[in-house]
Amino acid sequence: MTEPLGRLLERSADAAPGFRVDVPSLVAAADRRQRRRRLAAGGACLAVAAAVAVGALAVRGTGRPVPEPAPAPSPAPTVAVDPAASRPLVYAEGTTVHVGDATVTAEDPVAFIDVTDDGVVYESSLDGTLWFTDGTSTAVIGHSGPAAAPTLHLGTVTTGDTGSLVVWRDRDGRRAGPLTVYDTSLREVVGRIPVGVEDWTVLFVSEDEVYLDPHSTRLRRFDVATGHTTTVTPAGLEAAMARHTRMLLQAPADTVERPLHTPGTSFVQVGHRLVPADADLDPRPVTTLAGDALRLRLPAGYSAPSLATGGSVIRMSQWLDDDHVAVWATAGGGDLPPQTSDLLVCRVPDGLCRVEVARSAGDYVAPWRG
Amino acid sequence: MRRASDVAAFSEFAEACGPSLFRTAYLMVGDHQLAQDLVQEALVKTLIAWPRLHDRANLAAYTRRIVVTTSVSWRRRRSFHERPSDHLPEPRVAGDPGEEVVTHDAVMHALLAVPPRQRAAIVLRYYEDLTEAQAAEVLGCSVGTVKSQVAAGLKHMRADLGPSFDETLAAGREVTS
Repeated sequence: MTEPLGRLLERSADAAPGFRVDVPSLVAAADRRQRRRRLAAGGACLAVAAAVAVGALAVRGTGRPVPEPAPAPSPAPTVAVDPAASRPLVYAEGTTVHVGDATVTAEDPVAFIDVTDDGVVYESSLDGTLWFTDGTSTAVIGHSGPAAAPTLHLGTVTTGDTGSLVVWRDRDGRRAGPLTVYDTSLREVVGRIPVGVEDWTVLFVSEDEVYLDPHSTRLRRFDVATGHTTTVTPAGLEAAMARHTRMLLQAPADTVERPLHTPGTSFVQVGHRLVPADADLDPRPVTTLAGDALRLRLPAGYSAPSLATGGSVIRMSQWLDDDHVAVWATAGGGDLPPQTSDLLVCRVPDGLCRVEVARSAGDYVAPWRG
Repeated sequence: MRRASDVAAFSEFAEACGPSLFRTAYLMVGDHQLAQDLVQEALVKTLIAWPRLHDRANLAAYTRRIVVTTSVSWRRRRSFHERPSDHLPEPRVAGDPGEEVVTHDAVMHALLAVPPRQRAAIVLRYYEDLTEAQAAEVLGCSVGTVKSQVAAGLKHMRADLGPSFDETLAAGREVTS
């Protein structure tokens, strides 16, 4: 067995029979699906109206890919977030950007959204243009080289769980440029980090520092105040992360993974519980920095959105304050962006969760902590 | 309604890229029929998104990303009910009983026993020959995670195939980073 692995895989792939494209059937399938989605959106509106009238949400029999009913938002805010010390809950439905109670209309359907202490960074139409809005005023803040999207923004556009910094790789004509560091409270670029053409990952963004992994060399720390980049040890990065309370830790799956690269972001629903899981949805314990196990409990009767064939994708969305996280539950299936979602708010200390935005249908995007 | 020009352009794209997407899908799921379904699903999603896909140069990458993410989520749904099989997913090609066939069959068998995201990382890096950054973009994860997923996947394959697999890896050291 001395052939390269790539060549062996090529032989296996070549052994598969030919693929025949049937364009008319693909067009018909696309038409059917879009028709169903339009019906589903109408059905969802009617169902919500009925829920208000009778106190229960019943969504069935419309052919939409959501077999399970979802509860309406809890009638009493049992998981209240302190408005003085919180970030707004943010998400987008099509062109409507929600910033807490405010809404803003984007030019195109939103493909990516993230949050800072001051508002929302979003990208629409996957063209790399980054917008910022605080719910009242909206402006272009830059252009990202690689386009961001719900499932691939990690390392493309990054914000911190506290503070006002947004980091992205700038676009310089057709070539990727330096990393741009933008402060949404000042509404201006506060730093540019030359990164060359090598691979890199933004590991952590704090209120005044950006930590990078250039992979080929040692970890780097960019200090916004001085504009200087210095090397830092993994222990130094861990110490910086430990100074922040908005952090969950997940044990590495094996020795080749570094724990700081695998924050607890995925969950599976098991009865009334949200169980932290790894990328393959195998359960993996998550703890707070204080060492307490994260145990999230769902409202009675809650069932995460899923396709008719089953399958939900449930992910950490954003920290609202030091004690509350938003969790994004979507119907799985690879739709980009997902078509059906719930946003839940969970209180970390006691694990109590409530549905904040119930069973939205339509192109739906929320921050995704990867 | 869909414009005729869009359908014509989509048709041209699907004809040109379908076979290549199918081969990737086959490596991801190891079953001809499932791979066929997977590519059709990805093409339908691409067609629905067609009006907002302005960068036509990246259509193949966009659709390949759907193939990969959909295969992972399909596998994810099935994994609640299924366990990895000890049997080859496809019979060996008749008339090719040589050592070579046994070898790539064995590699395919080992690949399909690897968890789906690790498998996706291996297929993207070794078959599609993507860089780590490109694979990270497709998988929606960091470059560090791609590295760890590939390493963990290769570890699984090595456990399955034995020490001779190291020679295969050594022969493939030219894979781009």
